[in-house]
Amino acid sequence: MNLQRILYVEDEPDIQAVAKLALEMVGGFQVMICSGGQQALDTVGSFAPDLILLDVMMPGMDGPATLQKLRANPSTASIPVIFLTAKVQPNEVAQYQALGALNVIAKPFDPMTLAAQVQKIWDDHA
Amino acid sequence: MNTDFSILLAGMRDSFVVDLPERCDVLEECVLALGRGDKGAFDELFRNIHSLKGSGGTFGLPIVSSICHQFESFVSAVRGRFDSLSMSHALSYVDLLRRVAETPERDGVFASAIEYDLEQLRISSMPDCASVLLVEPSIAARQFCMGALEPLSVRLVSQDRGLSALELLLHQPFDLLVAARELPDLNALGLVAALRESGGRNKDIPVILISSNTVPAPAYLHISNTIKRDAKFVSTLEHCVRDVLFLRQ
Repeated sequence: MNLQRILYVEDEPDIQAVAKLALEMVGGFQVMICSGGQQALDTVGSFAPDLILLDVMMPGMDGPATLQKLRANPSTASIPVIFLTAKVQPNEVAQYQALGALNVIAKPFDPMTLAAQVQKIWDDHA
Repeated sequence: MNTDFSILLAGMRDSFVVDLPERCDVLEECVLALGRGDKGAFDELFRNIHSLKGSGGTFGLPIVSSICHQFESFVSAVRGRFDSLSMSHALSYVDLLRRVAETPERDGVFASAIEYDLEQLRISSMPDCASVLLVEPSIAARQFCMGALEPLSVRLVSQDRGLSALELLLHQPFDLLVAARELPDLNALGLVAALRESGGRNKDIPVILISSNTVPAPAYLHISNTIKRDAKFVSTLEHCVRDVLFLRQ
């Protein structure tokens, strides 16, 4: 299956804008941005993403809590998720993977290579 | 398409710098509110600094991230005991951020001047906080290293070339150098050799080398540790830095 539709959940407007452009212009993906976990849960059904990029630290419902809710719903339980976080210690990465994430991308990310990083993680797990 | 994106990204980065004074105003309001005893302003201040740090990193403005990283550490350190001196220091951090926006130059020369003042501010506001120079040419690897050192209360300055790192080392005090073995302009062994010969204040600082191979560095360079780029690289780096700087777990 080709990666086409990405839902990116991030509360920072600057980072939202850069990531959307990077994923669309460099990667050629179709991207929907949500500013928080609850908005993502409300949007995921209608957008039907192939992949969700989830910021770990967000006010309100954070990334891990959002993932938990996604996994609890049979219609979204199998959508692959990649976390984005500044905390990329191996034990933290393992912890995120144990929660069901495919992998973790370090923040701040390089806008020029973000799309390639996402594609590689997707390909590695295909 | 990548060229179009680069142009757009440069435009967004410029807009970010133009908007920076406004964001500094918000930070300043939080600091002043804290000075008036409004403890609720602490979380807002921290959140705004953290947000600015992330945006600065994403837009390729490491000087913004460096100031915010140290500002965050400072704010964490004075939580619960914010006095008039803390307020003065906090406003100095905001002023440094304003200077990033006030100059048309954001190249190495300008950044060096701000880095110098940031270091002076670190010494006065957090005398116990160590200063680390990270020299790594790969953006991705640099981000991994910065992530590894994030939990440590250190001031982190990053460079991507050997010669620019040497220039910094000759003019600013550091407690530790962490360098990738292969660097543009001047490799890490040449950098350390020049540093040891310099006679400057950093000539005896510990050095951690990051290398893809295990070929030992010459003994006269006094390398504290050589870390291999492997699956355990990030945690090894954090542990080595803690050990070398005698930081607590």
